[in-house]
Order: sequence, then structure tokens, then C-alpha cells
Amino acid sequence: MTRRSKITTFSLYVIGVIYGLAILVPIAWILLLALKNTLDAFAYPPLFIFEPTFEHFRAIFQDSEFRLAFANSVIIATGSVALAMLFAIPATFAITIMRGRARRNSLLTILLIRMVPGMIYLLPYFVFYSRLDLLDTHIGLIIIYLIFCVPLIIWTLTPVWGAVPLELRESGMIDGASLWQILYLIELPLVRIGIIASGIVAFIFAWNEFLFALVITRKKTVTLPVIITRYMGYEGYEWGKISAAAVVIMLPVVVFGFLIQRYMITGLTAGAVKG
Amino acid sequence: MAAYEPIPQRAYFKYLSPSIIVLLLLTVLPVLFTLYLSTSSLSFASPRPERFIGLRNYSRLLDDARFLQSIPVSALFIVAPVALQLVLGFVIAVVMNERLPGMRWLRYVLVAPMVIPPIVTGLTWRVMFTPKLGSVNYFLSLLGLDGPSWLTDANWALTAIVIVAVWGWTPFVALMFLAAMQSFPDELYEAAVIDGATWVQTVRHVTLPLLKPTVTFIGILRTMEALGIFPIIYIVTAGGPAAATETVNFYAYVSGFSYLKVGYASAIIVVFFFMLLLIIGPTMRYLLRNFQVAS
Repeated sequence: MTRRSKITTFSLYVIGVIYGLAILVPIAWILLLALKNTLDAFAYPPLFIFEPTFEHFRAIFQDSEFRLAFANSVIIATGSVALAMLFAIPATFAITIMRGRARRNSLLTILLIRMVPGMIYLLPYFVFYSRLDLLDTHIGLIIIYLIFCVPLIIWTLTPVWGAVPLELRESGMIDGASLWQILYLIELPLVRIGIIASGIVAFIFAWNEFLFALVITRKKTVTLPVIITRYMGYEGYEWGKISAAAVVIMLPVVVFGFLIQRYMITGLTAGAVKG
Repeated sequence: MAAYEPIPQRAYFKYLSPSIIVLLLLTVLPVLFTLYLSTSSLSFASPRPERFIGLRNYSRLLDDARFLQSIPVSALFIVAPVALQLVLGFVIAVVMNERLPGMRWLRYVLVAPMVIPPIVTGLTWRVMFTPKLGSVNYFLSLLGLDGPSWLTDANWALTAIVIVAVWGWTPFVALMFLAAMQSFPDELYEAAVIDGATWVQTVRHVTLPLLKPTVTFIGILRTMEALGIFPIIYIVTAGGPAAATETVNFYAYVSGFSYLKVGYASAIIVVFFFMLLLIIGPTMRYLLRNFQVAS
């Protein structure tokens, strides 16, 4: 790389630090707000040193609706990943043998399905589900999330699985194994990192999803992103509870995100674009 | 092309087809059903059974000022955030590609907005824009500026949504650009050194042209996702003030689930779907011509 002038280097640092702060400050703000009592929260100018309180965290976990929403989010996100894997693993196994045009067209079609805004499907599912009695059920949401989770898993898993030499399949066949046996006994253990990473990507999607959860759930299956909006409701905005709930919701996905940050973009960078 | 192929590709068909069938069923059926609903009078507010009313929902759309206003809002929320994300994402990717000592933390910081639930992103910024509680206007006051009333003034509310969208999605763009930059051949940069190019010239005449196809691809992805912007609007402005920040899909949601006019909302969705096709059509043609997957 060409040598930078001192001014350039300095400017790059300034841009990087300012941008980093622009990302961090709002997140830190919510964290602080979750730890402030109501009086401190509205102090102006804002307080940076105060006596932290855990009253808001205690309040949300004493709220049985919030605890139920937490359980629902875990059930629905885990269930979505599990069901999506049943479809996505064999599909990826098939895609990795494709070459050139066939592989590209399959991957692009799958990507396209994921990119379609959920609003397109929202009304028909609501009407379907109200007639099939699937509103406010876990499985109802899990089925809809297949539309997004299956493509996410295939896109994240394909580059990892693509690194497994195809010769394994040939030698497996020569040893008399069926394709199913090759898939589950030989290759699946080799790509377990990819399975975990793609599973986390799909989990994050299902954990975060708001639009369908808002409409399909009512009482029994309300998820975390929906319950948080209820603190903005009847008795005015309960900012302490809202901030504490926001921290609880984002904590697991941020941890997951750090763990798999390398894989989060491989799914898309694996596809190179010609100049 | 594989040189040998003792296992016929046909053998793999049964591994791929369940996914394809399920995905098609789950997506095509709802779209067809929406087309049907859009010609019906179905409303959850009325006990009367639905009946076929032809294109009446569509003709009503043409007279609906709120709907007509939502189209330019949708366009604004695509063009402004995506353009800003691409420009800012490029700048940040360049910064990160320099591997400055002591700046590795930025990579980790970028992950946060990518994984934080959009609803939490929205709430966070809702707080930031709220007077006293939040800090946007506080920081502006430190700079000697008088902050506007963000969420009650129509133009500032539009600006607020754009800011949130840029905050939330620039990291993804930057990381994608960075990944592409790291795959560029070193020889070109060495040649630039030999030619005596300055750092700025190298970025402009080597990095930027090489990145062009990635910019197009990411621009397409972001455009399609920007069309579906929902949770942020729902939380930050709820479409207000006075429907000023309502996009087409947000208005469809309001019609269907607040006013319970399912038939009418379906007609909006169909229009929304055609807007999507306008983007997807040229996109697919471009991708089919220029996109290659590593294999």
C-alpha cells in the first residue's frame, strides 16, 4: 500500500473514532437508562455519575408476562432453527455438488426469497391462520420463519460445506455407504462449525423478528420484541422498564454476534461479482 | 466443471426439493391469496361475508391522499438511507482496511447494530430523540446548536428515520466492502506505488473501481430491504406526525390491522408487490449476467 501522509493517517483515526462513538453512544445510553431511577433518568443535563439501581430489571422479571415472553422467544427461535435445519442441511448438501450456473441460480433464487419484505405475506397468513386456528401458536410463527431461516442457513452454510472435498463422497460410495449415510455420518461432523454459525444466524433472525410476531401472537405466545412495545402503552411510557427490557433482549444476540462475526458476512461474500 | 461424476446429480434432487417446495408453497400461495383478497370486500370490522367487488379497492386507492403520500415517503426511505449507507460504508471500510494500530475494536463495535433487534434499535433512538430523556439535543447543545423537536415536526421526523436507518445498516455495508477490499490483488497496489500514486489517488483509482460491482450488489440488497422498513417507523414515529413518515407497507399495515379493512389493505400490498417487482426485475437480470459464486 502507498504511504499515507500524516494528515491522512490522522484523519482516518478521527473518522474511525467518531464513527465508533456514534455507534456506541446510543447503546451505552440505553444501558445507563436501564440502571437509573426515574428521577435521574430525566435529570438535565444528563447524569453520567449516579447510584445504579436494578429496580427496572427486577420489575420486568417479576412481570409474569415478560417471563412468558422470554420463554416464548426461546421456544420459537430454537424451534425455527431446528425445523429450518431439517430442510436446509440436505439442501446445502445438494447445492455443494452443483457447479457454475446451476449453483448460482439456486443460490440467487434462495437469496431472493429471503429479501422479499415480510409485509407481502403478512395479511394472507393472518387470514389463513385465523381460519386454521393457528393464531397465537408457536408452530404458526415457526412455519412462517422457515421462509427466512432456511435461506439464511443455506447461504451461511454453503461456503463452509463447499470447502469439504467432493472426493469424500466418491470414496464413501465405493465403501458402500448411501448418500444419506455420507451426509449424516461423514460430512455433517466435518461442517459442524458451519452448522453452529448458520444456526446462530437463523436464531438471531427469529429472536429479533417483530412484524409477524406482532400480528400472529396475542397472549400465550407473545415474544420479547412484542412485549417491549406494551411498556409504551396504557400507563404512559415506562422508560426504565423499556430500557431494561431492551438490554435483556439485545444481550444474547450481541454475544452470539461477537462469537460468529466472521461467519455473518461470509454467506454473502462467498458470491463474488464479476467486474 | 467437475471432471468426474460417478454420482449422478439427479441423485441429489430429493435433498434439494423439500426446501424448494416448502419455500415456494410458503411464499407463492400467500401472494396468490393476496391477489384474491384484494378483489374482495373482506373487513374484520364488518360481520358481513366477503364478496367479490372487482377492482373497486384499487380505484379507491387512486383517491386516497394518504396512500398517494406514502409512495414518495417509501421512495425517500430507500434512496436517502441506501445512498448514505453506501458512501459512509465505503469510508469506514477504507479506514478499517488500513489496519491502523489500536483500531481493531471498531470491527467488534460494527457487529452490534447488525444483530440488535430492529425494535430495540428503534426504541434506543426513540429515547435519544426524546427531549430531556435522550441525548441527541444534549450533544447538539454542547456544540452550541439548538436541537429541533425531532418527532413532532414532519421534516425532522423524516430525517430522524433516515438517521436511524443509516445507523443500523451502515456496519453491514462497511463489513461487506471491507471483505471485498481484502480480496483485491496486491499487485495492483504495488503498481500504484511504483507509479508514484498518492494514498488518496490509490483509493480513488484502484480501490473504488475494483469495488464497483460489490457496491452494485450491496446497493441492490439494501434497496430491497429498505423497501420493507417497518419496526423502526413503528417505534420511532408510528408513521406520524400526521402520517408524514408512513411508507406504503406501513399504510398497508395500518389499513389491515388498525382499520381492519383486509380487502383494501390487500390492494395496497399488491401495489407494493409491483413496486418490488420493479426493483427485482432489473436486479435479477443484472445478477444473472454478472454474479458468480465461488465453488
